[in-house]
Amino acid sequence: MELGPRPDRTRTIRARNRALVLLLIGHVASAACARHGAPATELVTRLNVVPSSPVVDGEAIAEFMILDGAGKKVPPASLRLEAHMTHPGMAPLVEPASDDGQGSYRVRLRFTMAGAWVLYVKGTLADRRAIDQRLGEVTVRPAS
Amino acid sequence: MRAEPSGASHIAAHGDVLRWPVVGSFLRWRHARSSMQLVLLCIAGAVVVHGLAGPDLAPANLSTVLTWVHYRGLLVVALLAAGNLFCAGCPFVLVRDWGRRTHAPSRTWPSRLRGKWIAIVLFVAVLFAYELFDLWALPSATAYLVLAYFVAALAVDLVFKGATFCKHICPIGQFNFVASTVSPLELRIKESTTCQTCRTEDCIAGRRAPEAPLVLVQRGCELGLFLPAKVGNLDCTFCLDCVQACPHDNIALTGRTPGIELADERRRSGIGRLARRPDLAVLSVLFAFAAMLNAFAMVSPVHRVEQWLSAMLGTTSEFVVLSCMFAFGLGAAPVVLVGLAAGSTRATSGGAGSLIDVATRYAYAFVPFGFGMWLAHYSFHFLTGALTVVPVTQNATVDLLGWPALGEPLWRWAGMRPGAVFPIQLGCIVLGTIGSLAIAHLISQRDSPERAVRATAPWVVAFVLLAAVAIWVLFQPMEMRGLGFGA
Repeated sequence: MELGPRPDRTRTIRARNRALVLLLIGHVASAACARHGAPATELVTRLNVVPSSPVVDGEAIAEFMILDGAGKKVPPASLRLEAHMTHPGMAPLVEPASDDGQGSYRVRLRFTMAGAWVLYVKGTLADRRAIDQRLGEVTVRPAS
Repeated sequence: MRAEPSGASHIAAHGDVLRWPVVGSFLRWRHARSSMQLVLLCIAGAVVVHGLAGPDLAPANLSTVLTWVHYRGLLVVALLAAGNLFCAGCPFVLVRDWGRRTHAPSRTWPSRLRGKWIAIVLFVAVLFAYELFDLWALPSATAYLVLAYFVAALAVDLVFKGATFCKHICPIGQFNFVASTVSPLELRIKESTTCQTCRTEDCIAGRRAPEAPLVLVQRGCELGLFLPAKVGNLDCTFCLDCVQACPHDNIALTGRTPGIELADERRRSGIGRLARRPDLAVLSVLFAFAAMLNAFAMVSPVHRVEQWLSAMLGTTSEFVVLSCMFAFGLGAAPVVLVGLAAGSTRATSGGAGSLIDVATRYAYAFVPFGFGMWLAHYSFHFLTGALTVVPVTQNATVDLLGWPALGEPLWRWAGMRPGAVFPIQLGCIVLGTIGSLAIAHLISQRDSPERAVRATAPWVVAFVLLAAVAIWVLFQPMEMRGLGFGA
């Protein structure tokens, strides 16, 4: 069914509003595609979680190291460990990571839900480079 | 007890939401729907853009958070508290309307394709894809799903007239139509005498310009619901086109007893009699069993079932294993349960009609239970994760602008503790079950007044059994998925 004709002025305003909306969407899309900052992507991380398959509400220790391209541990830095579930709507665990003075970091975690958790290390390295790197995935079992 | 005939009684001004201050003024505003659609279109835009360009991690992406936590949660809450508000604000229809300004459809949807069968297949297909591809964990796939809805609505409705996509195809729409039968609000006429003297029937035909009778200035109901003969909320998108079109201001948005229309056997405009709509009956039963299956897939025992099936079938294909689970959950289980209950009712009540007839008549009683289960499931995600949209939006701002314009992401913001939501979930199941029992009894009183209790008894057993399974599912340890099949 066709709607009746509208005054030209209304049509012009509508066309202009539509163009503005499209422009805004395009701007947001292009800006979102542009990544900010220079992540330290050449770094290698190693993760060990004890126990390897933790239980809900049980304590787990996550130990990780950050190595540079030559395989050497990077100098101590201000880092945090973030553990996110793969399902949206769950609060992540965010814990500061304390280093042992030799480039290894140790974090106590208490997982709140069974399922898959993805661990990330985020923060700033000693040379002020930002780090946002995936460490690995942990499967948390339900409490028996 | 029977539903009141639409418009047979006077509706007090305070009982008409359209007459309420602020809310009523807004709803009667000509651009009320467009403004709601624009808001949802902007949100859909954010979902698509962030889904395609944002982080891959689902809990940190607006696409997955807004779609699977907020949209689903608010959808069922709106259905429970008011009505089909999300069809009213549907952004797919807004884009379709824009498209129709450049290309008017000329064809009529083929009569052999009418009904809900295509939508039922798509409804199951979307649920299957959700489980198979872990859509909740894939921002880009979620964005493509949203885009697919836009494209499908546009493609169908640029070819076929009316609200073809909404009425015959859209899986979300069918979910909303079925669920809105338990909503507390309904559009209905105020005075039947006014409609009896009406000669233009603008509520369905649309209003035309007096100076140019061929020009439509306000469309009527695109879903073919003629207000004087409209019963209940089925197929009503709450678009309010009828309210805008009616020259007599004779349409009200009023309260009613939720669910009562499921036992109403009157002929409905645009639908017919429920007892003669096997497609709607199947949709109603699937609505309930899909709620169970979807919730079951969130708890730990699903992995044991998958592994057992995998070993028994000698396959590691998740497609095959999921197909078996769906065939049981949405095929064998409902057929057996409904068949046994319908057979028992037929035998004990001595009622006329075939087994299929009895099953079709009682199938609508599954809707309140199904809605309770969907509400229990979706409200869990919404109530435990409602605030996660704050840090995710903050994080998206950092991605977009390079600096925390909205502050550093408050990742600890989430929502209620899962344990605190449990009583609410339990309440949803219990109320839904009570609703289903009540509807089953109303149907028995209608069809077998002499032996109503006997006729209802098998359905009492069926719904108590379903409720027990639902409560068992709630008691299982939650396991937010993403482990992958066979883990």
